[in-house]
Amino acid sequence: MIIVNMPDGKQIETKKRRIKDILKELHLNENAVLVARGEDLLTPDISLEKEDEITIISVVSGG
Amino acid sequence: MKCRKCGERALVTLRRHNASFCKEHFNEFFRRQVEKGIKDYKMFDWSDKIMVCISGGKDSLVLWYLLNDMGFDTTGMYINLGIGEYSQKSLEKVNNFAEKHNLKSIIVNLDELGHPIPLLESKVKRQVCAICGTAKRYYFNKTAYEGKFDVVATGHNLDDETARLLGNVLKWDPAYLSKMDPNLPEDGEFIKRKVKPLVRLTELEVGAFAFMNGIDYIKDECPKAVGATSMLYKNALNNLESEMPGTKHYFYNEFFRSAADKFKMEEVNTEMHTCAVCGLESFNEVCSFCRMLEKLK
Ligand code: SF4
Ligand SMILES: [Zn+2]
Ligand SMILES: [Zn+2]
Repeated sequence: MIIVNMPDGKQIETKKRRIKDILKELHLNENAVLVARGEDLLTPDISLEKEDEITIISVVSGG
Repeated sequence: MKCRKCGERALVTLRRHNASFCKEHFNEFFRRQVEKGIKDYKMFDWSDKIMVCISGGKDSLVLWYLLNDMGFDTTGMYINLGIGEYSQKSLEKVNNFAEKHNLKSIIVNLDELGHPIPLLESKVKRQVCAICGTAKRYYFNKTAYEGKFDVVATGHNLDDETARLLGNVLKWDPAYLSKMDPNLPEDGEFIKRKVKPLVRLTELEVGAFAFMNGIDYIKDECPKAVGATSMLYKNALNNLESEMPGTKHYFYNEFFRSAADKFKMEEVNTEMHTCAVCGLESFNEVCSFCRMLEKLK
């Protein structure tokens, strides 16, 4: 399982491996979020390892 | 994906440019875009004294960081709106950032001035963001005027501006459509030139730049921003952008190429007054901000 830290602080798990598929599953637009693994940013084509943990950062602000 | 320039693994991919970049080459791309925005719209040069409006969010901090790094004379201007924890946290980010990068800043504190936004909200019968906008505009103008700044820069990015453009187009509002230019001229004695150097960059690109360069910004939204219509427009544009990369750029740039001059406002020679309360230049006997404050009495 891959652990995903959501922008609201919640943590979820997914079986999907490719960033693009994970974003799709979570109904997130790839123009609206960054995906980080530690200090590293990941592009949508990247496939994750089994025990990876990623963090989704929202970049859309309302003001 | 591989970096277009060096072939290393890419950290960002920009579909509208059909390009991916590593950290080094993304930074280079980002900086070029800012330089091009400043140059194309003739925003300012090295002799200008620039006031940068700072909220503590990613856009304003990235702008401040870069302009300073490019050697421009910048001073950050932050307004503590007195909106609970959100204001406290953002002030902390701004202070830490200024200290870390050794930057000049001016802080205006609405709590200390006796009219924090929540108090105004409880007394003035208008939408809170309209109240807040009036207050921010007033203090930005006043600070820029009193500090003898040449130009006021804000961190609005391409997503902010296309969302605003879409909103104004949906209403065909000529007054607002006439004010879309990322370089608005000064108005009278009091109102300085206003520029938006990040206008060529998307929200995602600004976010990526902040992340890669360790710019520590406030990620929380202002609690009053919930349900803002601008979010609706941004989401709609992002959905279009996914299907048709480049839509936002095209929509924005074509507006200036093909339509903006149809919305030029005629110069109306309004007689300017001096606000009877605060003494600053105003369209009325008492300026809109001072009229709002009268409601607190
Ligand atoms: S969202 Fe918050 S900071 Fe922005 S205008 Fe509204 S009240 Fe002011
Ligand atoms: Zn590279
Ligand atoms: Zn006044």
